Amino acid sequence: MNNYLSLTKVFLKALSMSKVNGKKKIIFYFFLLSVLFLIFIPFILFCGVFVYGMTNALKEVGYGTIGFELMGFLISIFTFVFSFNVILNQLYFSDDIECLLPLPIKPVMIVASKFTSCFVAENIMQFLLVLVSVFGYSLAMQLPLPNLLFSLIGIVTLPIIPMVYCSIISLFIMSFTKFIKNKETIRKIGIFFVLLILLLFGVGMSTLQQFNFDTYVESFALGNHKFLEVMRVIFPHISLFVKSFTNMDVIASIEYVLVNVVALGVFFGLAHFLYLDSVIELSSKDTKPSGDTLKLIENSHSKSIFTSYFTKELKILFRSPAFFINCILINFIWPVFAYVIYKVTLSDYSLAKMRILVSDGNVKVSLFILLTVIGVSILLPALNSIAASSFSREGKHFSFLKYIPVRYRIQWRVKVLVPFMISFIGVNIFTTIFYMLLNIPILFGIELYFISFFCILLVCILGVYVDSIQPKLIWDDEANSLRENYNTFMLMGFALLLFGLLCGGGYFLYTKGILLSNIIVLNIIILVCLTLFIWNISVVSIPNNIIEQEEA
Amino acid sequence: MIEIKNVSKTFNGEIKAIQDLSLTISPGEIVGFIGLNGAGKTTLIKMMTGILRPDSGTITINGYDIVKEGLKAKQIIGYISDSPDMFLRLTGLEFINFIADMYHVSDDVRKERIKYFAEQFNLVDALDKPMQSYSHGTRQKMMVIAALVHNPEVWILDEPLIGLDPKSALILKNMMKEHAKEGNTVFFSTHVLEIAEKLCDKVAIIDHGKIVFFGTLEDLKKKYHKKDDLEKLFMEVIQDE
Ligand SMILES: Nc1ncnc2c1ncn2[C@@H]1O[C@H](COP(=O)(O)OP(=O)(O)O)[C@@H](O)[C@H]1O
Ligand SMILES: [Mg+2]
Repeated sequence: MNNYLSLTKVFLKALSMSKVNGKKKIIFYFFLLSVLFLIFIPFILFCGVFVYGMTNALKEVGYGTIGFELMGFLISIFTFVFSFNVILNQLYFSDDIECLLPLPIKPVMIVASKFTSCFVAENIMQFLLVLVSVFGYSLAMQLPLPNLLFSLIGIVTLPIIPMVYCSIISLFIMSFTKFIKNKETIRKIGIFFVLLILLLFGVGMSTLQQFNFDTYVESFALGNHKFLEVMRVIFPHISLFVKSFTNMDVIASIEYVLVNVVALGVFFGLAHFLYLDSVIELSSKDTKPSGDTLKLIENSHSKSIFTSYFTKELKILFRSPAFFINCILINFIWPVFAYVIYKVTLSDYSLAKMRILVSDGNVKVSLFILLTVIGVSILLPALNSIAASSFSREGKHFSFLKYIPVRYRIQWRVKVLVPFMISFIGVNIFTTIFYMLLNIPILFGIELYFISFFCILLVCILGVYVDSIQPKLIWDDEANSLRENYNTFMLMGFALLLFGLLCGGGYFLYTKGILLSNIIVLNIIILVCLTLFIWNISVVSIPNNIIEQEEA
Repeated sequence: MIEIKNVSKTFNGEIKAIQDLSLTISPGEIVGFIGLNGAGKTTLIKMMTGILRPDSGTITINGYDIVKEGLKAKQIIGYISDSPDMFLRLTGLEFINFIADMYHVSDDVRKERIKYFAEQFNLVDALDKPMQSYSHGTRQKMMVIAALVHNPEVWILDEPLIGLDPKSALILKNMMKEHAKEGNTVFFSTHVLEIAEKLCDKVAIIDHGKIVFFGTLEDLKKKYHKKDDLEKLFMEVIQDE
């Protein structure tokens, strides 16, 4: 037990954020964090209101628990998708493994403490969501206070089951890939798996016709519960949880605890047999067979500083599994999400219908396309976190930037170009297909590319700028340079504000009867001005921030 | 030629890492920089290479001020940092080529130098593998090649011999000697006294951010009337202050 606690503490420390120092920076961070909270708190509150509303609407027909269950399932899926990579990394690919293997600690201990540290570090958001859902539900059902006390265990432990799933899948993947000699291939299999799950999730969601917001209450009231039935089997703890605190049902509570204990038991049992073997196998694997090196040396060619620096950044992003999953892949799977949203909200607009509307010059559809392009172009470069981790990715070798004879001006511009290029390609491959499918007028298309260009550029410069102020340099695992990096959250906050400003503002102007062409011009003007503004700040501030950075 | 004039550096407003330090290292000299852990060696070296800015004072490298004419100064410095695990996702060769690009090394020169170093250090087979798969010593050798691939005039090496096997350490030591003999400057830090004794023309001893002795080993022995035991000598110098 002692081993377990101290290991957990150590892992948690490695996962936690670095300290902020310097008065100026504290003020800056305080400001940024409050912006962030202003965005996340409404989101969390919205979830509570959603549960409240649904419960209120459905409790008369006897389906009062559905609102809460639905939210519970969504939280569980969310946890599963986002924890998978974290757990796989923490169990198999973190740097500490080679130090741990020789220690006289049972492998189950290592697994248990790694799991706990992930659980604690990853679940603040989920915790808040469960909390507001419980409140929303209790308010609607008018549950008395003692019931809330009953819900405490569940509030704290709800994400255990989805995370156990992640862990078990990781164990299996790693055991069944033992025969593969190349470590990087195994990681890629892990990545492929995440993709597969995302795709399945996407397809599953899109087949949910009844999830249409106008009709969901009705369809649930009519007893159309296919989605719920499947989910109740996959995540049995949710229903038990609701039951236990709605009626202060002791048996349901015991069952809830039992389900969790069994899940953990299965996981630790499997870990006992599978973990050590696959980990040892992994650390003995070589990464690449050797070729004829002398010939390679002969083929060395000089490149300009800019190209060479740029290629280096790309190589690191593409080769490191953590960066590849979080920074690169996301640019090419966003259409899955877009498709889901389209299915859920606009499923009565078929492609053929939209095409006709576009050729008729329907303003509403053009506005929809414009706002979508703006939205994706703003959110994707924030979501892929390349820009906001530009300096953090350098880690404890940040000082490299300073001792090479390369102007900081060149270095930060490369760091802007990298996320810009990747995001621009990621956004516009798909929009181009979309434009062609819809036969968009050429002029409108050009305007859209132009707007997309500036949205992405703006967010990328902003990201690099934010990350230059207080980069997260102390990390031992590449994944941590992204996950424990405030700056990626902060950029997301800014991006959401910008998104609200441009899309919300655009829609508002449209409802006030402003012409679409004027909205486009206005958007372009705002974007160009903002970009110039941020660029001018960056030209002075980023080099200064690099110079002042003394942490590594 | 390295000229350090009245340099001070304080961290977080309280830790005085370097205090009003002055030191001049002439061309053709190998200078060993000796001190206990935490004495300030790395801090001074980081200021010499442009990584940290001195709070006050100036540092010039062959006449170029490291703050005001940073690019020119950095171009002629070969620097080995105290931790060798950088750019692990690149192969050794990609890493060296990348560094060579940063210093504008021409094709022919880089090929010749990479081949020369790789053979010297017995690295030819490792070059096309990711540096992630290297042992600590191999990574350190790669850092040596990266630092020297542009044939810098001034070498500033932070604990360069740590992790090297005896043979590679010997090769590097010989390179240092040769480089100094050609009229260049070699400045390296170490906490191993024997290395300093065998290799250096002069030693600079640092303690609590101040130079407490700078001169030849002969001078040192004369000053403290001790003939042979360098360790005792060293302790005495430090306690003297
Ligand atoms: N970035 C930093 N922030 C705060 N203190 C530092 C930093 N770098 C070094 N120090 C402190 O400065 C002193 C000198 O450290 P250093 O130059 O690394 O010593 P050495 O290389 O001789 O072992 C130590 O007390 C160390 O704790
Ligand atoms: Mg040191």
